[in-house]
Amino acid sequence: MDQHSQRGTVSLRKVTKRFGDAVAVNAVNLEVEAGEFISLLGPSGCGKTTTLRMISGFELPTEGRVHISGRDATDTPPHLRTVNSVFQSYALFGHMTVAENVAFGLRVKRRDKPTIERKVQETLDLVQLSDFGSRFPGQLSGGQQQRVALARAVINEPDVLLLDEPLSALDLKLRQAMRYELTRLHDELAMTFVFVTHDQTEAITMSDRIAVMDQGEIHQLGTPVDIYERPATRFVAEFIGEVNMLEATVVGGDGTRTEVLLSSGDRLTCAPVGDSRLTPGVSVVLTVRPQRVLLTPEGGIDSQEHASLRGELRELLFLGDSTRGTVGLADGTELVAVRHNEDGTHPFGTLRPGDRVDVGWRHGTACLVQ
Amino acid sequence: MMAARAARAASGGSGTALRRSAAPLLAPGLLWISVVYVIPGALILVYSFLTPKLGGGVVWQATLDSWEEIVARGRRSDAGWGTVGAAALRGIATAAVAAVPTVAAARYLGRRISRGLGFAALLGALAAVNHLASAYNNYTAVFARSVVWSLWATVVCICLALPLAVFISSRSSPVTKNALLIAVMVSFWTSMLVRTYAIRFLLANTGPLNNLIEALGLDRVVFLNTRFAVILGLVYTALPFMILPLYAATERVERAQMEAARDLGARPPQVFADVFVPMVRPGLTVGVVMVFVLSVSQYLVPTLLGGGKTNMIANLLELQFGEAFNWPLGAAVAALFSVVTFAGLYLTVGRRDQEELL
Repeated sequence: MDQHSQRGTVSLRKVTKRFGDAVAVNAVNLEVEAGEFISLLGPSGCGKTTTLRMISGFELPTEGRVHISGRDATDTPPHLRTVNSVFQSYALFGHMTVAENVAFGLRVKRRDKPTIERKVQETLDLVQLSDFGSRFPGQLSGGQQQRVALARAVINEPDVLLLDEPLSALDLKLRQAMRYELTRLHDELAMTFVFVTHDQTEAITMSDRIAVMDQGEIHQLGTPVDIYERPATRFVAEFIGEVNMLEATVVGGDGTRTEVLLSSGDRLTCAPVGDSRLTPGVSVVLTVRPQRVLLTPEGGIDSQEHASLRGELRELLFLGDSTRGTVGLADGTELVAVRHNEDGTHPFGTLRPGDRVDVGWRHGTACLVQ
Repeated sequence: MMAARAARAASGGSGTALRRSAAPLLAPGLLWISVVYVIPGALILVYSFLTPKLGGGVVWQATLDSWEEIVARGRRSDAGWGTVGAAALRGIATAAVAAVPTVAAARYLGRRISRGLGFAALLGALAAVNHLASAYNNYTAVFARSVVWSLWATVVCICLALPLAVFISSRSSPVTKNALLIAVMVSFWTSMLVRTYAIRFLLANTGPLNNLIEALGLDRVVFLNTRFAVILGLVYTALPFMILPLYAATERVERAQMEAARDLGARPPQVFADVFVPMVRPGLTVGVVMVFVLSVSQYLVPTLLGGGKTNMIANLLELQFGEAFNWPLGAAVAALFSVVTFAGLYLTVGRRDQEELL
């Protein structure tokens, strides 16, 4: 294939990293497209940072190959790779001014002085630090240091920018502002961003695609909507947002629908779930977001379009912007429904704890995961 | 030292008002410093202007004799212009040879060529001074020799201590770290006199080292009473004082910063020169000053390994205070050398490093 057109792509092929006996990354395959904003999302120790460090070259894969911009870079040392990183701790050079920090990459590549000066100013303008060139990093706030770290990396015009939890050291408000800033930078630079985070909100709000990782494996790779609405595994469903999980067993179905028996004894038809692995007898977990769960008095759910279950309302919790209702099913399993509060009225009508209720959801909003 | 830094840290660098109000707290420290350093220093200066008393001590009668003597002995020449010419030639030759690697290094590290040339010139000047110092035996030569040999010892200490400090601080287990640090300090537990005699024994013409050389079928080498033996002794004595501050500095080096430099395209030698060295610079400065000051005032090492006589400044002092019973002249030499050393350090150690030292 034409290498030029592949500039900015990253391809991990069966990449494994072991530290002694511990497997940090296990046979990961990942194709990052040029210009994409992709997040590696997962709890600490899931292998996301190790994966990133194998792209930057600071860790060598035990097995597998790493391709950057269409070329095999597995054995390329970090300083020769066409990627640059923004480190979690920023890792700014304290003995250099902001301008010297930003100029570092160009200086070690022996670019001529006027070019360096021009590009440093351009890049400082880009991150809105135009007047800070002569300061030292120690004199800047956390958010400003973050911008310097970004400028220092992007000035080299890397094929891929690697960001290792760059926002985790900032306070909440700054984090939100920097999220917007990063998205803006990504749009302006049209550069591939690989972003490592444990914060689902960051991943969901900024990414084109998210790779959810746990225990060294990618559980699901998809758009934020995919990940949120159609989690592929139990881990993904649990990790992203709040979710109801009901243990169930597959009892039947065809190519388009699957019938399950819940632990509460209810039988449900889930549609359209046509997964060939879901043969009768397989135990699964039914996941449904609380916002998708309807909560009505008995008989209040249209069973043609909805799956519905019978239960007892145990608790109603007013949360300010929303109300949360907890329903106990026949076997004691709990199911949560959350509804936004609108114009001051109670979103669940006259229901009170102790009432017999119906809970349900529109077909297709629940997912079966293994 | 630490107190001043702590005070600065506490005041957050904000204003002299705080520092002024802290003055009463500093009073005991200042008193201590003046009793231990300032008063004896002033006493030496005063003695240098007095008349020597036969058999030691001074007569309280002011005179400039000692200082005139120093000037005279500093200028007295026991070698001709030929020696000066040879020294100059040697300096130029050294600079020319040294320029090749230093300029190459400057190019490689992306620094200005002039820095490489400057370093080569410095080495040349040192070689010339060294040549003169070994040819002459007047006071200037003794001064120069003390400085040059101590510089050599300092450079060797840096070269040995830096890898060692990095090695120790890169150990992951704190137990290993402590064990290694104790191993560094264990030499302090033995008297310096014993240790120096031990080196003397090792280097002796019939010592283990020469026995080994002979066993290998080579001729015995005269080590004792040479420049080599003295510098070896200086390095041996002062090495822990370089290792410890360098270790403390390397401990604080952030791996992420080195990786960041690497990530931005710096080759490992550039990472070393542009990031690692600036980061350990405070520790390096402390080490350099300690090793240099300790070496330049060494008495035991030049006496036992260099054959005594007038190897270094301390031998000269011993001669004046001991054998010649000319205390004022000894005091004048000591005072002059203190001023020269202090001025030299003040001028060569950069502003920022001076703050680090205090």
